[in-house]
Amino acid sequence: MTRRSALRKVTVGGPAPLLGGLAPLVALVACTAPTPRDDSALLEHMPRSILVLPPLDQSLEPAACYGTLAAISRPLAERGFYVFPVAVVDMMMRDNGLPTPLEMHAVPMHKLVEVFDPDAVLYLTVHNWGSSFQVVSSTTTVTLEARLVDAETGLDLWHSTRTASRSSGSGGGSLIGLLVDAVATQVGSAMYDPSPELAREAAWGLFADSDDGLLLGPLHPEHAPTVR
Amino acid sequence: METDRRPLIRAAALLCATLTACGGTRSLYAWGDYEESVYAVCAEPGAIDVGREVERLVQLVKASGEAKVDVAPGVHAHLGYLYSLQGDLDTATAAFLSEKELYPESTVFIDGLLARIDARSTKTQEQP
Repeated sequence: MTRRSALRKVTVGGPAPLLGGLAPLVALVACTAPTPRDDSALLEHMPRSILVLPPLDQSLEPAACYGTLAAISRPLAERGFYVFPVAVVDMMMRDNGLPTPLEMHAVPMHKLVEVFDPDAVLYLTVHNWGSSFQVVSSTTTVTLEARLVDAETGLDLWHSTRTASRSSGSGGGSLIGLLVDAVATQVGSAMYDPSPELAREAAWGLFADSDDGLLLGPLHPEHAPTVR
Repeated sequence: METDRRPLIRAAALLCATLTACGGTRSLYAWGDYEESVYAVCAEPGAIDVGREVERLVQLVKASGEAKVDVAPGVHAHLGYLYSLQGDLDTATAAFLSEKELYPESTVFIDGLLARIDARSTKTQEQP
């Protein structure tokens, strides 16, 4: 309760006279901006610590699960949250009879609280991971979905999906040129897979997006209840 | 007649500062090779070179000290886990305690890990 009233004080005590002068500008921006998401649950249950479980993988690519898990801690922690050590959590769960993310995601919240005591849990799903090859081009796509759940109440605090993709071989030129380009890319892709890089891009976009991102958390120096 | 360019320069500097602030590239923490190490540990736990992973993370902790930036959340605990794989339980304990000290949010989790280590070392001591 004290925390909430302290937060409210910050919002109310803001630079009101200054805002008055900006009102026409704000109105203009409001007309073009998408409907702001409802962050009331997140604001009310703002977590300090987040337990990230290894992602469910619907892409069936062996590298997807851990490529994503490796990419997630940094952008999330840089938003101002304590992120539990993802590899240690994963190995500990595996050692305790939970061999895959499917079993880990099924662990009841009270059990997670007993062992880790997080304020919130992040459930991830990888929907796409890897390249699809067409005749003259290839596209690599990574799609991540994230759901943040309050550990105490089980309420959904935030939910978002993000895709990062890269196409190659689609440059101008003759058909022969395009074919050569595509073959070169596909041969090259056997050695270089841009997916981990795209996972990082998707993860940063997921949390830091100016419309759908996660509000700055309590460990961020610029944390304020209304800043996204 | 010389025109005064200072306002122009000031405006350019302001724009620069604004762009940098919006870019948000400043990092709150030192990350080093932590992400790579997470992948190595999880993807093929049976095949990791534990010594190499320890070395990477020790390097990161050292660099963060020199740069006076906090080690990222989870790094000390990750390192503690690696030490425990090597059987170096004292150093593992010290690393877990560092995580707890830097990030009290981890207290319950770390206390659980320390209890496991205690149980393990007791068991080792009981063996002849």
